[in-house]
Amino acid sequence: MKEREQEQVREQVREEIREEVPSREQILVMRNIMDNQLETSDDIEIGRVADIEAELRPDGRLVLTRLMTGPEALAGRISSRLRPIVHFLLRNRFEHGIPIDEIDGFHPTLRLRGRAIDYSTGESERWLANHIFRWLPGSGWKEWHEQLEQSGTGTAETETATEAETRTEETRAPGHAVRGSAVASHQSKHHSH
Amino acid sequence: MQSEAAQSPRTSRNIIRIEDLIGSKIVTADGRKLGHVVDIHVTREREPEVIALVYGRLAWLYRLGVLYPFSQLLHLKFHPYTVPWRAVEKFEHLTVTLKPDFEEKEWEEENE
Repeated sequence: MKEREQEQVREQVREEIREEVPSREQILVMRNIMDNQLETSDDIEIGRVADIEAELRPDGRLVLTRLMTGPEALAGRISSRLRPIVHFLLRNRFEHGIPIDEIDGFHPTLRLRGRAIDYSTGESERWLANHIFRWLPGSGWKEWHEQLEQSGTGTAETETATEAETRTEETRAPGHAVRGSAVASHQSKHHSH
Repeated sequence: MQSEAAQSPRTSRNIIRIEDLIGSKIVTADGRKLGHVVDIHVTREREPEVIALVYGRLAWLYRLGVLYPFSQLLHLKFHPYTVPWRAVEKFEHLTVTLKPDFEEKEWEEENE
């Protein structure tokens, strides 16, 4: 009788363990990380996770190290044979990696610790916004630029005076983080859609 | 006593693309095919570590987040099959090979 009770308790514990998969301390790579939107601390969406790089440590642990974005990583998801072909054509020009420890939290969007300007991801989007979309009527690029000029600062607080002088028009364009400016965030979202 | 290097899964490179691991075949040490990797459990830490590979048909429902709601709806208990990463002997040519001594007991314990 006692054995039966013990067995029931054991079965109950096993059931609880099973129900806990994945526990709150675990997440799923494909469900919770892959393809999720990357959002910086200044609310700018800079891309989606195309792939993840993992490192096999000498002790046998497999640790996720970098989130990859770009067309080559995406091509690799269609077929691993496509990756070298796309690499031959693009030569890593649009590939970007973000260290995984930059993730602030695994929410529906992956919140990053840094600002958009801190990451090279989204450069191609910014280039399009500054060189092509800016010429489209109603793009809002000019207004945004004028507002930025009027505000006089338009730069990150950490930027030095020398850097501000050498800063090109491109680096001040939509998509770049401007602390305290809601316009920058709005513009970036506008272009990302 | 095996050395650390001998215990760790062998791959041709130390860097693995997760997308290569997803969809890879899982085979036991004696060559029996268990299925394909559908998702991966990782720890929720600053340096997420791979804990287990999820495979099997139910794993697709699990990945979509509908397995447990379906289970509750049907008053049945479904669980996806998982293989702990420590049971992996090597990952080569898009195939995950399990350790011979690990497979049966650990797998049964976690998936019975």
